[in-house]
Amino acid sequence: MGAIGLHTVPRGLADGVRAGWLPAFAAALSASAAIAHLGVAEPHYRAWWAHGLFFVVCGALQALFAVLVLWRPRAWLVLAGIAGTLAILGMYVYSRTNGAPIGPHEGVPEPPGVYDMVTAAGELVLVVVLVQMLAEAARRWAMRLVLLVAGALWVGKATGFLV
Amino acid sequence: MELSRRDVVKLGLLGGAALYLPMERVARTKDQRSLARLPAPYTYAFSRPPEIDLRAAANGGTPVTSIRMAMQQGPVPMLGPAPWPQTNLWAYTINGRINPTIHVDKGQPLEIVHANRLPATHPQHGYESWTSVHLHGSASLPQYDGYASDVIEPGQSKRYVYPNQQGARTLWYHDHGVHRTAQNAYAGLAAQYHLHDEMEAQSGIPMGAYDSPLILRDALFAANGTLHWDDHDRSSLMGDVILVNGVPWPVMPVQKRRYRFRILNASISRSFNLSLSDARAKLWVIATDGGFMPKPVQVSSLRVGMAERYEVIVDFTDCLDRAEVLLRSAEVKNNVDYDHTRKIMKFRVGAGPATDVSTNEIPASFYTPRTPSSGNGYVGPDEVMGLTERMAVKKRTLEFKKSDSTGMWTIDGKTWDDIVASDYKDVVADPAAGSIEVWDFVNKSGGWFHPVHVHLVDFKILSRNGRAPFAYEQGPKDVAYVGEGETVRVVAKFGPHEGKYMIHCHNLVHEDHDMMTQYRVGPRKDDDPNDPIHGDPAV
Repeated sequence: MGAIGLHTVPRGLADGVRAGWLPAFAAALSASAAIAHLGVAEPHYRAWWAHGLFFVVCGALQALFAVLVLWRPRAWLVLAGIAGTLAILGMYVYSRTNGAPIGPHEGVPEPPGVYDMVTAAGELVLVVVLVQMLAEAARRWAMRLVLLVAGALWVGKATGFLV
Repeated sequence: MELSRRDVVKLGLLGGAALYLPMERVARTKDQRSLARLPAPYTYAFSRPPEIDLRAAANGGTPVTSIRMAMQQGPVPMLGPAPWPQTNLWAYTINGRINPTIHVDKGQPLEIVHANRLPATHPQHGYESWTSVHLHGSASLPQYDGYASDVIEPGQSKRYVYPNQQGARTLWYHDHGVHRTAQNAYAGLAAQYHLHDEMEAQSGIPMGAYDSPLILRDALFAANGTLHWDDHDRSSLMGDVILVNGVPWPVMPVQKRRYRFRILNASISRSFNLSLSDARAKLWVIATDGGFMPKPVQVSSLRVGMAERYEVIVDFTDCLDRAEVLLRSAEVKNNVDYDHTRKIMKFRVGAGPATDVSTNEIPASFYTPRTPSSGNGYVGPDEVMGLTERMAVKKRTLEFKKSDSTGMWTIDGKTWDDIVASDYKDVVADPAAGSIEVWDFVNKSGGWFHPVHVHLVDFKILSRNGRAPFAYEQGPKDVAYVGEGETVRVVAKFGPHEGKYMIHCHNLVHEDHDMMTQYRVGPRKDDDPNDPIHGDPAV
């Protein structure tokens, strides 16, 4: 699978996206995820400052993305949103199966709860919405990314890397 | 633009991974059981832990004041002889003795150098096997108290100095390494330590062969004999095998006389509600965590939370020839019971009268509670039990709860990581040396109980939800069982040492994640020679 470099990023949103409801829906979903992450930053900070910082950075980026995708949706922005959301989902699965990779509770899996499952489900819907916003060429790239992350998670599970 | 069928498949794979994998892990670990077949209860012989007697009387008139011990891993037939597989135990060892009971006299200072010779990493869990040794029940200086973050790395040794100036009591030494306490203790790092004094010797209560530890704990075993760990996502570890002094459901032959048992609940998360199956066998509680009660109390049952110690006398005098008396546990709220977890052990009474009736007394009383002396000296059990609410110069409240957002166990909303983040400066209380305070331990949850341990001091339980404490817990304590929805009020005199000491839940899973904080006796000192980490670190 080829590397995803800026020079290869195809430009283009699907027809009518800018005027349609998809950017607003994506912004709402991203803002919701931002609120969810910022809401748990403080208790995570008390567990370890770097954990808190991680949630602040995630929440801030998701809030920024919500504004940008509503204001000026662009293919590169949508692709970046997909990549970022997939990274957060990947980290979520890792923390719930193998535990945080670093920090005071390194290697201790966190139990999934309703709050984080709902947030993860919202982020999955966000990925679907963002994919829908892309024109065909860009969508192919996005779906390769989705397949890469999904495949990595399932291979991780099949090989025992994910506990 | 609609999604293609292929895109839907890819997104489905992603959604499945993101939502299914975390849930699958929860379901799998919750359903996981250990050995399919367990040892049959009441088939193995009772065993006393090995002992090292350091008292003058046992050493030619000269007390031993310094010893070296090593924490080591080794195979032990915990499940029974072959074909049962052996279990790799972590233990405190000295001269080939595994987890020995240490005997000392009051006023006999003791230095123990503990060497960490454990594997560099835990063989199952893979963490670095640092330790910290806490002599639970000892008023030790902060640097010798087993402060969680004062760790002994593999290959290092640390000196611990114990004054042994308190009254006779059952102490225990166990691991306290930060974030590893539960797994280290579960692996075996726990044993008793008996402090003796004149009052005990003159009381006539059972001694020697008739005075034995009963270290109760539960465990899960994997098919290969290793101790299986499942803390149900940081809530509790509930084993399906009950061990007494390391033996599953043992049988002890007894004579028709009185026996003194030093009950310690060394489980990670399980509490017991103990009783005897035969009304002819009488059960007396004579001492609690911090030593003798003012007078013995006869009970039909007693609840023993994790880390609590109760010294009891079981009187088999009136039992029938060859009677079989079961020590059993009744239901305790929020315990998880398996097939045999309400069975503890069996006493098999001999035929005919006892051949030895020495040290066979139950005195009417041990002492009369009295007002504590002024100043900041050691506080005897009679002074602890003489404390009243009106003597307190301050009242404080500590709330024990689980954070809904992080899933962390907290004390007043904080964790041990908060203490670490403050460079070990934060404290939840700062009583003056020698001052008397009343503390309320609050547990508003209906889903958890928390045995709360305050290091350094012995306290007196004043009330449970405003009502009198149980008769059997009206002795000096250092662990208060704070049940579901309970507020337990205690009073203590803080001293004799100044410095920082821990407070934590003794459900060790809770402690590690991260229901532990600290308080400070006396004023804050920036260059404290008795700093718990820098005062006398491991080398």
